[in-house]
Amino acid sequence: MEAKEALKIPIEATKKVVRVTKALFAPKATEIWWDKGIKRELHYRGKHIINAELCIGCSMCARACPVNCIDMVPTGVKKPRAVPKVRANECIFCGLCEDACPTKPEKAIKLTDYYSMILEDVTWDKLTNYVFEPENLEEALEKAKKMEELLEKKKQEALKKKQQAQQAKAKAEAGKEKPSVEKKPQQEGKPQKESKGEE
Amino acid sequence: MGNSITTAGYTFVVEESKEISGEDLGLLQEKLLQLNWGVQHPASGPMRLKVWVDGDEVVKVDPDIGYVLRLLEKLVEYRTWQNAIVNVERACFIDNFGTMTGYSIAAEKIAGVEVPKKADYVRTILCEGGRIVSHLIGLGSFVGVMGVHTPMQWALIAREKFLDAFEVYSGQRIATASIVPGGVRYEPTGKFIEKMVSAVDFLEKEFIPRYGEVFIDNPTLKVRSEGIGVVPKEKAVELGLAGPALRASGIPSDIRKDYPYAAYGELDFKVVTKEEGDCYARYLVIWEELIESAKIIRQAIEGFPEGEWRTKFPLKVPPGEAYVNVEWARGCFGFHLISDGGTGPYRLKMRAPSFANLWAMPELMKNIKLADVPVIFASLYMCHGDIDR
Amino acid sequence: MEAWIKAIFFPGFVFLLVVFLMIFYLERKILADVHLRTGPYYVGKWGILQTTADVFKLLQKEFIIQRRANKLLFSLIPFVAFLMVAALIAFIPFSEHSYIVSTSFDLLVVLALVTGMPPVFFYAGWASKSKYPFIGGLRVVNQMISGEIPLWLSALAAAVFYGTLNHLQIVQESSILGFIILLPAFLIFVTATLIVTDRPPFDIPEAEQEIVYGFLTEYGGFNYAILVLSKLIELFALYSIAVVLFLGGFKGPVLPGILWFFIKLAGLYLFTFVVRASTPRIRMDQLLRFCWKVLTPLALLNLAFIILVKMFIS
Repeated sequence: MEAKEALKIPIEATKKVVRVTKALFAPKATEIWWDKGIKRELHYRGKHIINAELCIGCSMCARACPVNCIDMVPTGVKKPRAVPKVRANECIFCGLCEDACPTKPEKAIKLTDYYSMILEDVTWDKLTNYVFEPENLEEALEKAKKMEELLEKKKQEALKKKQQAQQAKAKAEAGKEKPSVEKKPQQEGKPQKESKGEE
Repeated sequence: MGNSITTAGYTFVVEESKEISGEDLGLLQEKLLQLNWGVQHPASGPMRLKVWVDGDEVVKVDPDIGYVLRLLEKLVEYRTWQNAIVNVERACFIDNFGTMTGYSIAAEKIAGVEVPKKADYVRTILCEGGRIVSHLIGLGSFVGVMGVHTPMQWALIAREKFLDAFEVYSGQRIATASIVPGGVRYEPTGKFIEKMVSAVDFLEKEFIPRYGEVFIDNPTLKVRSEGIGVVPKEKAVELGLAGPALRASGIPSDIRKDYPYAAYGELDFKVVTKEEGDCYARYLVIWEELIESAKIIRQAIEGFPEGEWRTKFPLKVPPGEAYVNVEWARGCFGFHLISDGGTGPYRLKMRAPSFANLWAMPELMKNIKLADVPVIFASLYMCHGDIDR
Repeated sequence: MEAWIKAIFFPGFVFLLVVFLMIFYLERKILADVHLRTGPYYVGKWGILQTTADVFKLLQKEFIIQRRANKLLFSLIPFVAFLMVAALIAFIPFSEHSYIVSTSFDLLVVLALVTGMPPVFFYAGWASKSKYPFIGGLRVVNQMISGEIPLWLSALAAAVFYGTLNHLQIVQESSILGFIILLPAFLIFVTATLIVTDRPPFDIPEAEQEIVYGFLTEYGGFNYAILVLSKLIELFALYSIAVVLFLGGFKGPVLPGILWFFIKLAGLYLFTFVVRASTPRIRMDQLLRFCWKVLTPLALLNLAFIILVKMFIS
């Protein structure tokens, strides 16, 4: 370090010090955010909302989850066969379950922008039992059961009518030897009418 | 075994039992002082560096890693093709777009899927954003080991605007999980482009002039870092350096120019090299790459195409193998992906650039003083999550 | 009675405590301004009570003494340092009537007490019996020895110019002409002060990134508070001497003398804090080269120049 260069160093350093003081008059970058509410953008990945009415129980979400935190809980009905239940302690909020859900027009499992997930008196048991479940499960199950009963009823009626039609057909077959050209259009008319009535 | 602690069946060695003797190394004195520039240290990160000191001069340096091991390569074997991005992106949390892009390109190569052009441009913009964000922290930490914390604070302010843009795009600031095999996951809306443009504006109009006039030609910075840790040109290739350290020794190696991927083939930028190869040159390379990345983002936004941003990626991929390099913030990251026809990868091996830089470091630390150890360490721009994976 | 008030309140121990709290607060606020952030904000209006809260937190913490440390020396050192530094304040005239002692060899006593600090800090590092504090203690001795000589030479240049070692007389005889002639001596004195009191860019003995806080590593709790207090008061005392010798002490047109004293002191402190925010620290051997090859010859030249000027004036 030559003497001349060593003398230049304090001069250059003083120049830098003067330039840094310009920052004393620049506007501050600190923002106060807690009285404005946490801002959440469009794709904010927060708490799940699971709609049991739209869900078809295909378990694509459980297969798509990287950390295997979605369990499919079997219901009693045929559709949905099982609904997803998310273990919130293990979820990493990546959103791949939402991508994998195939229902239209809206997805059955969605990540909303609800971020406040507070537990009181946290113990390990409470954390492992903290889950996100479908909220309208009872009503959806009732509706599904009612739908099933309705379908069952309609099926039973259709079966009964088919049996009646078959019996009538058998009777007609038995009485076929008698000349019944006039009766034929009547017989043909009957089953057609009744099938229309069923629909 | 010397000064060691045995708990739960494992043995941790704190000080070596066979002491390094000065006579073996050709010094006059016998006993050397071993300092643990270690895990609990203000400037070391999660890594331990055993430093043997003779007075004020460093005689030998030996790194000790493994504190951030998360077995990412093993965990990927339990995932499907789309799920694995969640593990791959956590290799380094500061710039996570480069790793996701590399894995996605490798998976697409095996499956034979072609991504639409719009996805390529979005991937470019995100990768360059990640590079800027990482370089800002690199600048701040290099000057931070010399006792001045102003650059770190200024850099973090500029970084906030970019994190806002990432949040508008994907809902998260850091671990975004937004680039998948088959394209990108979310739609690049007008708001995202706006936020990106305002972030680059802030960078170019406020951060770069204010930082450049104080900390680039700083006399004590130059006195402290010029001539320290010099790597001549031939030795750089021999040691296997990567990233800015390689380019500061005069070798113009950049994967974005040599083997273009994503939209880099259509954009115009220059590769920054310097000749000296010392700590100050590495610092200047990081600074100028930052300025180049801002220009790349502007070009990509101007030429933004229309179209789809995601195509269908098959559930099962035919057997095959692919090796893909991407230019990550800290160097050339390699992905070797093997598929055996299942729903997920069979094996993924990641070649980490910081790992190569780390094991070249003891070569650079010969005949230096104790005060130069943090300067060289910070100038090599290593990421600990990437060393251990 | 008046002596007791002076000894305890102003300029006494309570004054020193209040000065310590205010200077620490100002340092954090001004650094935060340069960093474009807010600094302390919530404790008290504008965060004024933040340092008080921090000191109370330190007072209630357990201080840990290592098993192999020299217990007596380790616990005594902070108080010895504080006493030596508090004695410095006795010789500084804050205004025409508020000083504790005024003798005919003020400056000599002050400089001698400042030179007595390095062994105390070295013992702090030695008594910890640990690797990093030991290295910090060695660095302290290295640095302070090289910084003492320019400090003495530039301070004595002012004494030669005014012809007396008494602080009150120096302040009364000071003038603008004196300031201009003593300007090089002022610059050398300020640089030497930064070197002697480990302020950035010369904060090598407490370099956090290399040797984990130097000789202060093992101190925690009340001990730590007293040690940091004594370092800060040492800087305060040396800057007050700079104001008295070179900047004209408490002289000023309209406001009372004591306010002018503190305004000039605040200017010097502002310079120190901004230097901290912009200049990286240099290495030990570079500092030694700078001190012995540049600073000491300049101080000697400056002394010769003052003697020449004195010959021509009188």
